[in-house]
Amino acid sequence: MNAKMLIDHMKSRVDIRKHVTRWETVPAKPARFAGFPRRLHPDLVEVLRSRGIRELYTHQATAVEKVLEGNNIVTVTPTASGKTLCYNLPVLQRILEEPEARALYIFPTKALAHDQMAELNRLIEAMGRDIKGYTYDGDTPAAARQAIRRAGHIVVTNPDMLHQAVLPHHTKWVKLFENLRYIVIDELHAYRGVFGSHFANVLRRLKRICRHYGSDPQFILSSATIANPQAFAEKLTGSSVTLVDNNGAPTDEKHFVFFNPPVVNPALGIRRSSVLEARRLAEELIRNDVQTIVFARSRVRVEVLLTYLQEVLPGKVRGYRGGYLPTQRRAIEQGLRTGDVRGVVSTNALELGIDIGELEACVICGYPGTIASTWQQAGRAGRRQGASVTFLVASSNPLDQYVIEHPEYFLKQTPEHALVQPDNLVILVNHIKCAAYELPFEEGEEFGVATTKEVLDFLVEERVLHRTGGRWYWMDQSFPAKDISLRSAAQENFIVIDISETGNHRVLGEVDRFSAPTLIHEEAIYLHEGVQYQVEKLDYEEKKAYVRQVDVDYYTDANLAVQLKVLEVEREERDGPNRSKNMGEVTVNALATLFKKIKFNTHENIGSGPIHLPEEEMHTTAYWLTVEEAVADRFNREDLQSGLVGLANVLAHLAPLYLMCDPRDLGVAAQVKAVHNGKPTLFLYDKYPGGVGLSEKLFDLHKELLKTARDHIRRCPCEEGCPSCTGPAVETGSRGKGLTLSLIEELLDEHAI
Amino acid sequence: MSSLRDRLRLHFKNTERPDSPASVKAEMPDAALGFSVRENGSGTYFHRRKEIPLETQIGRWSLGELREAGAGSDLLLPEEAGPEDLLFFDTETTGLGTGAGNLIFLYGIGYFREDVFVVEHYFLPRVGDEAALLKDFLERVAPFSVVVTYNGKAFDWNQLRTRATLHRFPWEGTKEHCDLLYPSRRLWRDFLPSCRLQVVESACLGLERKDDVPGHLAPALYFDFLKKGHLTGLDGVFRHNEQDVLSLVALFIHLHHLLEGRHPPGYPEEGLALGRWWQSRGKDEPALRVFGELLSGSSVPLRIRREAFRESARILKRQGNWSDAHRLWTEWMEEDAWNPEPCVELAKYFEHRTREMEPAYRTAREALRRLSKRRRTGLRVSDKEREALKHRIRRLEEKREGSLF
Repeated sequence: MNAKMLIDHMKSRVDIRKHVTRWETVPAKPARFAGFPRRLHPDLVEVLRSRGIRELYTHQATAVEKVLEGNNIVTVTPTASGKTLCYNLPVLQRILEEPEARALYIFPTKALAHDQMAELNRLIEAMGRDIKGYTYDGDTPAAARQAIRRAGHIVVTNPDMLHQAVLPHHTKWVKLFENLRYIVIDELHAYRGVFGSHFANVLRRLKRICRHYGSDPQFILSSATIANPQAFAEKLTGSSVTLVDNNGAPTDEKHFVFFNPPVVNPALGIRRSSVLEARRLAEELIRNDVQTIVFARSRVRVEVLLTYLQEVLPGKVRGYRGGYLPTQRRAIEQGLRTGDVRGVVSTNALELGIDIGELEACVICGYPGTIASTWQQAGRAGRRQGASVTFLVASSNPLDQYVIEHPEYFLKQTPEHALVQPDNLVILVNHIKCAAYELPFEEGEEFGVATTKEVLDFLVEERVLHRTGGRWYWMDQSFPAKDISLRSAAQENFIVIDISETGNHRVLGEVDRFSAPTLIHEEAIYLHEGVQYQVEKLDYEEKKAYVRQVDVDYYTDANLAVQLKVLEVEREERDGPNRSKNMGEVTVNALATLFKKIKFNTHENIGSGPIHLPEEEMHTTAYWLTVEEAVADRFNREDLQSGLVGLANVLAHLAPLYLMCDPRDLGVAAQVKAVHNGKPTLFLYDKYPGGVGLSEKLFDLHKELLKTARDHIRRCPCEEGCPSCTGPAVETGSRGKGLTLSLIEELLDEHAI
Repeated sequence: MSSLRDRLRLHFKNTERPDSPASVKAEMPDAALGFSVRENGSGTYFHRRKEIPLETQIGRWSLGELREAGAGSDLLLPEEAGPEDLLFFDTETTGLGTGAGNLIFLYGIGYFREDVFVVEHYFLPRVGDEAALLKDFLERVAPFSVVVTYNGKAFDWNQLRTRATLHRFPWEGTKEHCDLLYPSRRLWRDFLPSCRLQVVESACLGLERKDDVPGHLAPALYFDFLKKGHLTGLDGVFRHNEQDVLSLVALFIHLHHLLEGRHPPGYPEEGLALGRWWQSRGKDEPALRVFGELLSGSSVPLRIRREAFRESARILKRQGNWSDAHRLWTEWMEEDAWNPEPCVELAKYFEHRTREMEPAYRTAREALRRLSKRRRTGLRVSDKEREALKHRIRRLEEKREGSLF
């Protein structure tokens, strides 16, 4: 049976159909071609011809032309559309014309860098010219580094390496910086949120050093589909950027199926496990010889699904995730391309552009969190010739349930805005320190913000910088880049270490500093991918929690006394008779006080204990929603509390839908009588000191957010609130769902009560 | 909206630091401590030059002994060079890394001129005038063909290059580089707690510093100077650096004498390391001599003697001096009663060289006995070693029978 026949067959089957909330068919799209740009070097034309490429796709041709005209560009294309030529062609062209020219390629991960390097080297080899491309990362042998710095035409690296190894040692890279013509950044959409805010500052530093050495490189950027590619690219690079989105790559018919596992416990709103449903679908596909990729959200789920699927086709189904050795990964990628591997189970590691050829089917186990990510994953199945199918299998979590119940939202909505806040004060100041280490600041110099001088003067007061002769010099013994990690949200995360097996301690995961007191206090039951662990010891100083696997019939729930204090109201708007929206600076104090042991199923409280941990304090930005008195007066205090908590639960889960952020980046607090104005208030705040722009966006989304919440709660099939909507009844009381809904209705009511 | 300053304080205030804002010292501080102000087109800096008589003792050596040391042993310096070609170089910096933000604020150099040793200091009183200092400094050091440092390959000289590159000065600092850290490590790593210059000085040069300002305090003292402008506060740093430069000379002399065999090693470990070094460079005679001295010494511990036995027997074997090698193995076997190694060597010697199967068999058996003894007392014995030995014994049994009948 070929893929097309199987897809049609599955579509007609009742046992599948009845769990499908939408079967979307995207029709085939033919290729659109353009001739080779006139300026393209004959050597390149010849190489392309020798590889069977007679024409370029429209977007490739436009990209090459725009770059050769001197523009910065960002190309936006789906997976497998030949985007690498968009940057490789102009870069190689320039090196052919100017042998001293240099280019810097930046990929978000090492694996991608190596993958692209291999591709680039094949191209260079075919040309038979003396062009040298190297990867430069933590694995590069010390002996090779000097040659790369001096002689590499194309240096392929990652943001972390740039931040800690290249920029602070720029004097060793004179050749590169003097002759840098292009900066290529692929997978641009990966640089959002905190990581992106750091990266934007790394780019500010990079441009600054280029100026010092007299070069002014162009940016060639490439992104998956997001709502705001051009604005995002401009904000990241601080340069004006031309958008190239006339994608000419062909695709054949695609099916996108929204699959919701059946409800097994209507009262609690519990559905059949998404893992088991994903397994059933994938088994059928693989058994029928349809090459399939399965995405799961965690490493453990990858392993579980892998075990199931390997039984179907022993030896031909492989796993793929972080933690596998590079050679192992290369072998799997190769097997996928040749077709020897018939199935692969992956974390989002394969979401980024690693070349694995074109697969026929994709099963996504659990909504990946963003529309953009989902399309990236679905894009792994999708071929230029031959039909393909993607199943999105929802879990019980509210975001999943929202998406699966609102397929039109997913299909119609433009993908998320990628948000980035390079001027977050904490991030900015840290990178100003790094920049000052690299080169002294000149009078009048701006580092992204007009207030640069004030920051510099502050750092002089703090004795980190020294001001003399109209310049600011780094004057401290430390190496600032070492203390700044681009990746972690809060600078110091706690790591969770599993000590179940003597002699084989392993890191399970990380918990951010502000969640640590409630999640990993001593005696807490820490759930990791469905497995229970008990925290035996929390080393607060060293930021480590030691846990051991257990099998108990309770979970723990810590009381966190969150105090949120408004420091400064920046924006305030009463946008309806019954509600107002606000944004501003807040201090969040969190003190874990005690924890309860709660029995599964019955939710009995079977014990408790104190938590002795210091209070956490954070200054950040928040968005808050205030309920006006008229509405508040219609509820008694308990009901109001219940409705607010229900709304808080829904919003905490749904807001990330719009923000393209991880739910953990956002904190939520409800106050029946807020300290600053005495009114019932719901706060959503950035969980990163200083804020990274989430609150601003929420302020703008305010009303849409409330409507979305209302629709979602209404459509949830549960009776009195479930984890997929307002939260379990234990939290909000048996009328939680109804109270939350009527609260939202009142808020949205445009007539004064 | 709260002011930027308030928000900065909120997020970054370092409570450990005093609150008073740093005064901005704009004008040039006064020179003192023998420094004079130098000026060129790019700015001003401080400079001082001191002549030190050659009779001055640095630990057990006097500076003048460098003349006799000539240009140093070929183990230190592959190229011919006269004492006046040597530039002794050491810096004080604001931090430890090798990145662009680590500033050299004091450059110390030392060199021979006719009948004196000269120490010069280039000091940076105003950070913005680094180019002025660098320009003169690079000119000053250009004529020397050899630079002598302690860890300068990785640090001082490398950092000078970083500073020059930062100011876009052409780099012409390619010199023969004699970094004394490497020979020091080779000779002393095994018995000194660390190979820091001060440790090496006191253990090997007999030098004790008085009132030394430890190097790690230098950055803080410099930052203090930038704030207050009192040069005398840095006096200790200047003395420390001068002492480092002089120690370099003494260490150079000391290493030279050691490596040329003109000065006996002070510690058995040192002798051993020295012998090995010679051996690796094909200098068999001095190597055998120093191993011989270790073997005839009275209080040399067995672990050192064992190495000396092994290394000298290896040289003799390579030279084909079988009788001396035989003598050494025999002594070694008697003295090192738990060690199968000399027995195995002897067994090989009897089997292949003199073809005496009986003693070959006996020594091989003895080796196996020693291995078993080691194993019984819980020492680690590799199976491979045992198997190889058993195999040898079986072969020897056959050969012995063959020769008997």
